[in-house]
Amino acid sequence: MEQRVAVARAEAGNERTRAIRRLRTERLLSGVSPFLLLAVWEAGGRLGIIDVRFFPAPSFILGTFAELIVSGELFIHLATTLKSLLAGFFVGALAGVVIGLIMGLSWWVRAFLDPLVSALYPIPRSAIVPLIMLVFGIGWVSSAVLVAISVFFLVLINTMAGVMHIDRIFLDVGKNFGAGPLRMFLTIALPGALPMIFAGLRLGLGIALIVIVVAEFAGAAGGLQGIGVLIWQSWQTFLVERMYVGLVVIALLGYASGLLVDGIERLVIRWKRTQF
Amino acid sequence: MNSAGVKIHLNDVSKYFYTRFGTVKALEKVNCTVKAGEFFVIIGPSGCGKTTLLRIMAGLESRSAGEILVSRETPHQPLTAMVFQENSIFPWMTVEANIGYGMKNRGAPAGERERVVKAYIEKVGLTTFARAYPHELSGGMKQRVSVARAFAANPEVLLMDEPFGSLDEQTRAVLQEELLRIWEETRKTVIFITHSIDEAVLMGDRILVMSAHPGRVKSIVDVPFSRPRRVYEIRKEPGYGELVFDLWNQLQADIRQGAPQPQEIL
Repeated sequence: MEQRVAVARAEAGNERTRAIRRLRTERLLSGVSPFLLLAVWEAGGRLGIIDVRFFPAPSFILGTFAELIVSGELFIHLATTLKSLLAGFFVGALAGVVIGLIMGLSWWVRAFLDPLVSALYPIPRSAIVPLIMLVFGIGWVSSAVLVAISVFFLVLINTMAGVMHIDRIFLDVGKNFGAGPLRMFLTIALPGALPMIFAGLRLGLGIALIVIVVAEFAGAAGGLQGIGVLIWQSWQTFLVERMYVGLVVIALLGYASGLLVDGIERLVIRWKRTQF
Repeated sequence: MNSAGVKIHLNDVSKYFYTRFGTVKALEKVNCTVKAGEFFVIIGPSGCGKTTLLRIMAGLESRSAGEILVSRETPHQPLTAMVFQENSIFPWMTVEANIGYGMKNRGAPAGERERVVKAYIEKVGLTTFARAYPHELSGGMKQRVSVARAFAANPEVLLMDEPFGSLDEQTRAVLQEELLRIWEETRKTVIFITHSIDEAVLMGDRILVMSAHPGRVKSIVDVPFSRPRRVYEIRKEPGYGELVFDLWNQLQADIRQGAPQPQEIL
C-alpha cells in the first residue's frame, strides 16, 4: 500500500517535471525565432544574397538608429507622433465611451443617432485626410483629429454593444434598489460594459497607428514632423536605413501601447481576474 | 390605509401580456392582504404568474388593472427590495459593496452604511469574504449576499423570488435556516415565492395557493406550526403530512393541466 503511494507520488513528480520542461522549451522556441530571422537577414546581407539597397542588414539599421538618437532627430519625430496619438486617442476614446453608454442605455438616443453612426462609420479614414487638413491645416492637430475620429467610432460601437449585452437582471436590481439615472450609469452600465470598452480601445489603438502614419505621410511635404514623416522623407531621399528606423519605432510604439492598454485593463477590471 | 396591521393590500390586480398569438391573461383579479411582519408565501405551478405578481410589486413590471396599497412606516424607507432567483449580485462589486448597494443609492451616510453592511456580512457568515468578488464565491455564498443585500436596504417589504431554487438540497436547507433566523430578528414583512411545498410550509405564516392560466388566488392556507422552526424537525410536527398533502392536492390539478393557452379577453 505504502509502496503504491510512493509510486503514485513519483509519477506525479514526473508529470510535473515534464510540464515544466515543456513550458521551458516553448519559451525558448518563441524567443529564438526573431533572433534567427535577424541572423539570417544579417548573414544574407553581408554575403550579398539579399539586396542591401532594399533590405540593409540589421546592424546598419541599428547604427542609423543610434545616430538618429544621438542627433536628437528621432525624438523630435517621436514627440510629434506621440502628441497626436495621445491627444487624439484620449479625446476619441472619452467621447466614444460617454456617447456609447448613453446610446446603450436610452432607446430614443439610440434611435436618433444610430443612422448617423451607420452612415459615417464606413467612410475610410484615409479618404477624409484631405478634408481634415483643409480644416485644421498641416500639423499635429490634423493627425490628432484623424486619430480621434477613428478611435471614437470603434469605441462607441463597442461600448454601446457592451451596455446592450449587460444581463437584464442587473438593470432590474438597479431599478428595484433605487438607483437613479446617474447611479445606473456609473454602477451598472459603465462597469458592465468595461470588458467590451477595452476590446474597443484595443481595436482603436490598432486603427490609430495606421491612420497616424497615413496622416503624417500626407503632411510630410508640408514641413510636418513625426515618425510617418521620417519614413516618407527617407524613402524620397533614398535613405533606406532611416526608413527602417521609422518602421521599427512605429512597431515598438504599437507594442508598448498595447501593453499599456492591457495593464490599465488589468488594473481597472480587477473583478474579472481569476485565481492569481 | 384600512385596518391596523395590514401591510399590503392587493385589489383586483390583473396583468395581460399582448403577444402575436393573442392576449395572455397572466394574472386575473388577484386579491389578498398581507399583515405587517408576516412571512407570506405564494406557491403555484410554473406559469401561474407568481413571478409576474412579485415583479409588479417590485416596480419592475406594470400592472394592467387593479391596485396595490402598501402602508408605509417611514417615508424615506425604500418600498421593496428583491432577492432574485438567478444570480443577481454585481460581478464588478465586492461582497461589501454589493450588500451596501441599496443604502448607497439612497445616500445613507458612510458610517451607518459600514455598520449595517458589517452586521449583515456577519449574519450570513461571510466576514472573511467581505472584500472578495463574486467569481470567488460558491452559488450558496452568492445567494447569501443577495439576501443580505435585500435586508440591508431595509425596505418596507422584502420580496423573494425562489431565492434558493437553484441550490442543492443541503445548501438550501442551511440557507433556509439562516433566512428564518435573520427574519426572526427583524420581523420584516416578506413575500416569498416558491414552487416547493416543503419550503412553503417551512417558511410561511400563510400560504397563498395560485392556479394557473390565468393566475388566480385558489386559496390561502394558514401554517399552524410554532416558531422558531427548523428545516427537518418541522416534519415531525403533528399535521405536517396532512398540510403538505392538502397543498399538493390543490396544486396537482393545475400542474397536470399543462401548457398555457392564449385566450381572448373582452
